[in-house]
Amino acid sequence: MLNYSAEKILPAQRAGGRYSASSILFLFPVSVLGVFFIFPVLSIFRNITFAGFIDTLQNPYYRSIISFTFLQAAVSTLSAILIGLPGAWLMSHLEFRGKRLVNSLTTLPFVLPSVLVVLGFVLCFGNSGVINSLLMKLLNTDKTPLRILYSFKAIIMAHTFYNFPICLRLVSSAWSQSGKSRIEAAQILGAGPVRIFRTVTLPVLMPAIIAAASLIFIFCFMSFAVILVLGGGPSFSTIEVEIYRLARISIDLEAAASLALAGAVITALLTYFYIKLQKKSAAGFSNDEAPIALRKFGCLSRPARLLMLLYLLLISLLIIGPLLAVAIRSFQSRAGWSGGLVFSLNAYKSAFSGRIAGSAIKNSLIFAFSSVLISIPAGIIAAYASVRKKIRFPEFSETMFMLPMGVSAVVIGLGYYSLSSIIPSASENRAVLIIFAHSVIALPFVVRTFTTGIQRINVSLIEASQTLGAGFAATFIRIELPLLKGSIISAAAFAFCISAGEINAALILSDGAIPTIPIAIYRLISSYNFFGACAMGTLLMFICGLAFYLIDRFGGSDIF
Amino acid sequence: MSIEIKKIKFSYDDFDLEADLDIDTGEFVSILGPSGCGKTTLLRIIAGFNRPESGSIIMNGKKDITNQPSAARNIGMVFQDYALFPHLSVSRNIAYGLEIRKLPARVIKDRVLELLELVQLKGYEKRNIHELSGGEKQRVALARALAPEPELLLFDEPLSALDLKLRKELRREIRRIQKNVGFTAIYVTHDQEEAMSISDRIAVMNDGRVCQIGSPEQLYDEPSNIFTAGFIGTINRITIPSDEAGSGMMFRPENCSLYEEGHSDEGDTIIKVKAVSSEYRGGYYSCEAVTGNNEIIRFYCGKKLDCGLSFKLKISRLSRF
Repeated sequence: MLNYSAEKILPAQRAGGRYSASSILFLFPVSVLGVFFIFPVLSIFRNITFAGFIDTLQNPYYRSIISFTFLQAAVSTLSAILIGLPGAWLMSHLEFRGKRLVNSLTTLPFVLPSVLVVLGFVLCFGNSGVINSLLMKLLNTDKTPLRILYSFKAIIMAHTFYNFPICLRLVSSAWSQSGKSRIEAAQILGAGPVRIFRTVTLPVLMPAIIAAASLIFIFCFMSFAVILVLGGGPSFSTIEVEIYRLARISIDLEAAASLALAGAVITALLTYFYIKLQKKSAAGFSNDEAPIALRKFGCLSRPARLLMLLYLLLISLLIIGPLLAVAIRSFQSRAGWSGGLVFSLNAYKSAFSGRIAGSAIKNSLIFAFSSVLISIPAGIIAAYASVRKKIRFPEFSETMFMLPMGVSAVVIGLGYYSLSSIIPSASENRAVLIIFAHSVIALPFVVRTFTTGIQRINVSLIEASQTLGAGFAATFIRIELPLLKGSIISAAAFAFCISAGEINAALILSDGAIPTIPIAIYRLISSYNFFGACAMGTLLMFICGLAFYLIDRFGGSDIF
Repeated sequence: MSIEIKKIKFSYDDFDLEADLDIDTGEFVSILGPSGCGKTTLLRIIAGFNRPESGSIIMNGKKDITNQPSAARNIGMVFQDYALFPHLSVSRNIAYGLEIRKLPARVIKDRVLELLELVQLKGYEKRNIHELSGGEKQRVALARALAPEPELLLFDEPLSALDLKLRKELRREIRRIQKNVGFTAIYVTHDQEEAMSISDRIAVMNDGRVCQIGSPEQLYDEPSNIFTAGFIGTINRITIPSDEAGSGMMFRPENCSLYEEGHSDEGDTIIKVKAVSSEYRGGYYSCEAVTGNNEIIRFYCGKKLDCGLSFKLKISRLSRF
């Protein structure tokens, strides 16, 4: 028999103004997006006249740049998809040691700063890079066997290496859910393997392949550091690089703005297409389908095994090789002018004693922490409002917060740049502008992480808390926030890493006057101080590696 | 606590719900119906998760709670998926409603122990939620819902995720606790056996309406409509041409048997049928026969009836619908 306790239990406090409170809170992310993103991007228009815009688009030089942007993005995408597909099969059909690690590594393109890719690529494939030195020793010659750098090839290779994991990730997850019982049903009905692939597997894979291709295309279309350094000159300029040159070197803001407008419209449309596509394919998969059976690696025939091993070796080399080269080179120095490489900490000594390096590290850390502080609360509120449908048009809001992903950092940077010509005080606080830009660039990743996290919270937990007397705020603090711990860590790691590795907006905004770690690396590469660049690069790699570990550990990696 | 649900209206898409329901203090009422009939929606309106378009919910004959948020209603709820907070221990889960009400720690601790004993989970206080079995989870959920001493407890198909044996055991226990503690209970289920075994009264719902409310015996013996009759137990429907109205009649399988010459009472109806099938059910046969009008009749019989065999059936309680 239950004894009712002597204390009179009062009904809990009324949870007042649920809707109005959340609407007021929602103003915060909206103003972050509006003031830090939409307003500056729109202010680019100030520099454009309609005639000037048409002029720019009709100029054969800019036309060739626009078509080259499309061309390199298309070729890079195709190449990344082709390299990624066998890996997708491998990951979805085979069981082997180290699979989890490979799976984690596929998040890398989202967190690896492009400047590191460039640096690693130069070290591996440069004229005096690792591969050429090896080949020179093997072939016993003095001539450079592979001339890759500063060419179309270099751009495509770097983009491929940077982006094929996206294909591998998206397609393998679709492939493993292509339906064991559906395939078995087709087999029993008498379909052969080709027919099964065409009628059962392909319809499931196609949306994932198209989603991966559009994402890769967007990334390559907006690629900046890779083209700037590896393209090596005006012959290989894209919209992004040209905007930077026009704004910073020729100071032709009208042409820069016209190109930015053209580029932003294209990428924003592509991103919108990608978001719609991804939603559709996510809705299309039924999770009640059993995943397809995994085969042990040893069950394969000998040649198949060899082929697979070769492929795994190749992609591991592609992913890890350049990064490893950076790390190794940072601990080396040249003995004398033409001497060999020896172990030394000189690169670190000179990098960290220099004033510029010191302030670069300081700036990067300040920017990264500030971006986390802005984007996390904004992201959590924005995601909460749209998932829990606390606002009108929740779908629209979700798309709006993804939009910064579809506008390149160079364009965002240009927006701030044109803003500072309107608001004089803004130009004196360029560091603050960089923080704002980084927060907005990180926002889509943060919102996406929280959206996934909040969707995973069972709604009946919230309802249970309410029936037990907890209001809106108490439920959020006691139930939802603790359950979102992993998402918060993941999102913070994303924001930190994106800010620490971002070069485009910082470069266009300050032109190097406010150094960050990536800008310092870029400067060191430009002055052929590869040892210094590698020391800074290794530091950046350490920061991003830590973020990567946290994202992977706390499940943030399944947001794409 | 008594609760009156007055002319509640609620609609979404092409479904609309209209319900009236009076429940007395200390009563155990089940809402029974097929999936999609609106029973869970009605429960969620009482809980305050769905706002009705019109109508009102009155507590204890005077307090209108229609527009109060759930947090202020002092109503407990037990969910189908348990809804235990995964980041809190068993005792913190149970203490949740008491912590929200800022009771002294000592009081909370005593009450948690008391409740754990009540749901037969003594010694479980430090356990993590993921270490519990389904049955244990639902016991914790019950203890958690009871902790703030709600006068009304809502159950949303609480046992449907459990296996049959556990379901029977737990429903008895829920009933025992309800009688001991004395709270009013509204219990949503689609399982007629469960509703009949646990409830004082059952409200049968179909297509957004309450079709009948009454004790299990009333619903079975005197169904007021064909839906209730068919949903609770099995019925046979026949038309009898000699009947003046010529309308349909119904009867339960247990109210008919093989007719033996000279063994009939006044009021019994005798019909000619042909056997279709007999299935052995252990101790008796479950048989199907067909009438001259091609109506199928189900009944129980002590012996096997060969297919095609013609015989007469005696129906003792035939009612019009």
